[in-house]
Amino acid sequence: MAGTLSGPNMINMFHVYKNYDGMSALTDVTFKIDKGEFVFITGASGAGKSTLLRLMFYMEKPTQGQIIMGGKNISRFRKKDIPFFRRKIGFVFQDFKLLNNKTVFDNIALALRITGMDNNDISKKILKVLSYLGLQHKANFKPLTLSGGEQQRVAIARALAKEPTILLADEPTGNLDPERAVDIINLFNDINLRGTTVVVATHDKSIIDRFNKRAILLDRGRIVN
Amino acid sequence: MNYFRWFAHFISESFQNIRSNLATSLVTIATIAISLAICGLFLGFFINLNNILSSIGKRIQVVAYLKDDLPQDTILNIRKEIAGMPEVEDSEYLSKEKAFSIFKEELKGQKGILDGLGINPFPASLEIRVKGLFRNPQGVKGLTSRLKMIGGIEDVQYGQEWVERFFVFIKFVEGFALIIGSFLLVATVFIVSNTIRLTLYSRREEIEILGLIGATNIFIKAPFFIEAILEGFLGAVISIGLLYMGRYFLMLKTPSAFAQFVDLPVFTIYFTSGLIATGVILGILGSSISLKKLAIR
Repeated sequence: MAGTLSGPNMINMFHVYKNYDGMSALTDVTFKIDKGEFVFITGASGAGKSTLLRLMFYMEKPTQGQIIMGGKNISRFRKKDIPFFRRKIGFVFQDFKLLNNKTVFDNIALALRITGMDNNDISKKILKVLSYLGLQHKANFKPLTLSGGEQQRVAIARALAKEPTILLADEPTGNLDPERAVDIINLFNDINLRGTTVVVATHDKSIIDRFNKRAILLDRGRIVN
Repeated sequence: MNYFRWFAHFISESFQNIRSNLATSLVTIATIAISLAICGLFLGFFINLNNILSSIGKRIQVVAYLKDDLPQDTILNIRKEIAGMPEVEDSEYLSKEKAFSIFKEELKGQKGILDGLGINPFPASLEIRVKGLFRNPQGVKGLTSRLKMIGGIEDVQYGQEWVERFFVFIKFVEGFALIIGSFLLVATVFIVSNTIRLTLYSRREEIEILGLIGATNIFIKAPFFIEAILEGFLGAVISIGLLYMGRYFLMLKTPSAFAQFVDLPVFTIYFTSGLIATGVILGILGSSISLKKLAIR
């Protein structure tokens, strides 16, 4: 079972390899991320940033190597463990992955409803997270009527609503102008200060320079620093 | 614990899904309705044909001719013995005199033929009707051979050739119906499961997102399952409507001699509930097949 994610090392990768049809995407990747840390994963496009995040979220399985998330060896997971594991991790996707036929409120509610939470608690949590992100007046809007930055924040709201132990974000500033991008990273920083382990994949050098955080640099699937 | 809440969620999701994917839902419902109407038409004709055949089957009877000049109580004993046989539904005694007078009646205008005849050539007989279970060549043969062993019975006849041909025909009809019926059913399941798979395909993004936010397999699949059951039910109701209209127009154009065959049993309780059950089962089968193939990452 997934259980709770805990331990001093929140994310541990040991000699992880990932191949796609013989093409190597990650080669011998080993690192650890402590509980409560904020880490950037960086590198050029195609360096393997997204693959690394997807491995942490069990969207992919490593070809070789071990991945320990919050003390759980996820390569030993069975199919039924995956949903419960994912509920403890917030993932902000590059393309947001919002349901366009549902309102902002319903998009976030769905992530809570699947856990069996009752409607009153769901409403309270959503109002809290929406006002935290400055989206309370957008609750009844559908995603496609919102700007890119707003959709990004809805995606973050959905990830935060379930109060994850770990927050993963794949190129969260990719579609935003520099000012908005800084706002979003500030937001992640704030979330991190509240105790959540945050991992952000970005190719944006200026963001990394601006925030004084550890950065794992990937080059063609290998860690270089 | 949360089962009721989840169930309520599934139901509301299913209705919401049908509404927001109205076009695909309508295609699925129409496919089920038309497939079921075709199956129902076939089944209806088969039921009617079966009814006609079984009413013909009721005419199967075995005639036991009695020896002349048997005393009344011997005849009575023979009748009692025959009534005790498991194959026998009932029997009717036809005396020599009665047989002769029926024959005379049938000759009508040509009574003159009988004028020279001084004696009554007809034997007394027992006309035995056979129970449904034994209305087949083996049953009738078995009964006949046992009747022949009873003392006082001269001869037994049962229109052997006719009975055998009739049963070959029934076997043929049943086999034909079974083959065509199973083809129809398999084709229908195939069509419905593919239509549902198209629905799933058009919503693969939604399914993917649900998996990514941590929904369990059951949580993802249940609304689709319920939706398919609802569509199966609606499709069945529409197919009953189609069959009713079909029956109406067929009856208008059909000469009364064939009416018994064409008069589809649309509104009998077995037929309607059978169609609705089939629709629901189609929904269950079709969605299970396509959901099984659905990979959730």
